[in-house]
Amino acid sequence: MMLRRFYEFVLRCRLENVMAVGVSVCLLALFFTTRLFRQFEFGLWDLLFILLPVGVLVVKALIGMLASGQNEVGADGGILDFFADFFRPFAGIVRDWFPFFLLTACYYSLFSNLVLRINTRPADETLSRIDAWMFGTQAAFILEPHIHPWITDLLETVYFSFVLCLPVTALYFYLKKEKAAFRRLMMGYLTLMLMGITSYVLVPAIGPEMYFADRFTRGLQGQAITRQMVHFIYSARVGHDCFPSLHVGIPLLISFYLRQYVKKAFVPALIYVALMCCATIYLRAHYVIDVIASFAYAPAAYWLNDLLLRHWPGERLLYTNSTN
Amino acid sequence: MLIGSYTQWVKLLLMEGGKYLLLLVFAVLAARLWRRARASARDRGLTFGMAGLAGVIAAVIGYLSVRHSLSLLYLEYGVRAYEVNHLAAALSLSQTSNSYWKTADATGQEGLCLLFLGQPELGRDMLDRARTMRKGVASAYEQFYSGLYYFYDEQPDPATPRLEAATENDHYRWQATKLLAIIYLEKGRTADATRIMEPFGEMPASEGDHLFVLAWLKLIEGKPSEAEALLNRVPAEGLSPFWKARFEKLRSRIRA
Repeated sequence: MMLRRFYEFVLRCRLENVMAVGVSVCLLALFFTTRLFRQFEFGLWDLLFILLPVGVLVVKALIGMLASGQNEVGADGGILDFFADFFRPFAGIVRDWFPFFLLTACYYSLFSNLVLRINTRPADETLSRIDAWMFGTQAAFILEPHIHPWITDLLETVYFSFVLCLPVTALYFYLKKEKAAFRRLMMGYLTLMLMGITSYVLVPAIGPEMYFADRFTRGLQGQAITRQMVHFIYSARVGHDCFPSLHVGIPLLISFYLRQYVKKAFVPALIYVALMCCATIYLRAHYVIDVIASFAYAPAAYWLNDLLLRHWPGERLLYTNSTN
Repeated sequence: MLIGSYTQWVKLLLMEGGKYLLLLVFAVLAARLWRRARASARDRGLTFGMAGLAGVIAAVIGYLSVRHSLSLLYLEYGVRAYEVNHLAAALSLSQTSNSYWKTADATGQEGLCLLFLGQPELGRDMLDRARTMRKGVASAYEQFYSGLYYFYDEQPDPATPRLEAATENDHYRWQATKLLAIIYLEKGRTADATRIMEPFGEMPASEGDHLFVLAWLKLIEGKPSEAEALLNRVPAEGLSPFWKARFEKLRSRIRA
């Protein structure tokens, strides 16, 4: 009876909550029972960019409270009602964002612990052979004579801006009170991340810049600011995260949601995706096959996420409640 | 030390963001409680009291946050001054940093400045205090620079463990390895010197200390002409007395 009630309770919860708790419990169990999980190298950079919108929302809520000219909420109620009203917006923000933050942290932990443990042989040779079969040589070698400082600066800026595209879009949906769009976007992102991380663990690759380091005859010649960006990107990377290119996959997935919710932003988003494709190849971060793969992964994540949300009982309940 | 490393940047952003966000939360809470107390007669005394309490907490958080931020700022400028060899300025900035908020980093920085400013006893004492504040752990920055001090002070024994510890850090690995190789070579530990220099075998040699180590290793391999050629790539007039003596000694060993 208890088990049945618990089962029903789980099914009634939001999908991201169930996933966050489930993945965290599995990781904790693995941490305490196996030797596989001993190092926790979180992608702090990525976690920071999930926290950034949370900070913006909290500041917005506080400024809103301060600027509000209305009588204080709870003025007629007791002091406890006042405190409940004061902290409710923050609790709402934490409630909506924390599962995604926790899941992102878990995924990075999963990746940093398992990469090169499941598959110890980097796949760079295979990936570069596929590129060579398509182009006769590596795309990065073909682009080498065309390296120019301003192209490097532009594409490095595009490449670096990737860390902002998801938080900014999620923040936009959240501020517009498009909760359904926000949750679809975040869940889609996490589905794609999980697919990407599984792929990185099974097909680890370091990318052309490091794999062919001794064969490049020219540096990328970026200026001081972009060199700092590159330093940040490389410090934040866990490594062996090439196939597929999530730098392309995530903006592509975002563009699918923008097409549905903010039609005007769809074409600029596609231009951004195209620039990101150029950036990943020109900056020697990915093989062309990684970019092509991301065009399969992103739609698959979009479809899989919608399928999950459609069939999860708790989501159906939420949908029914919101339409009634 | 603080700014420049990615992890430190992220920690700094999180810490500063967290501090001032908390300050804002208490400040807004105090303002709202104050306005509520004036708008409603219900629980007026209690609400005024809580507004006062929230205001005091906000003021304390604000005061401590500003002091902590100033300490970090002065320390950062101290590190920058130290790295361009403005030791007196670096010492003063580290002391100011410590006066705002006592940290192991600022204490260690003060210790390093005192070491190089000719007050080794005081310097060592400050470095020990910094280590105690970190529960017995010295930072790679302190290990490297104190190792550097002992190296140039012709004290290879205390320099060795410090430089060995500094080689564990990516930022100091190369510089510490070169100096450590020189110490090993001078102590006759040629196998250790060869082992630690091996990963850097492909690195183009242009720095004086690197050429010095390579020349010594060539001499050990029985290639004196190559060793001399390497030494000749360093212009003698630019060398400090410390290096001049070493270069001369190695040259005479090659010719012997």
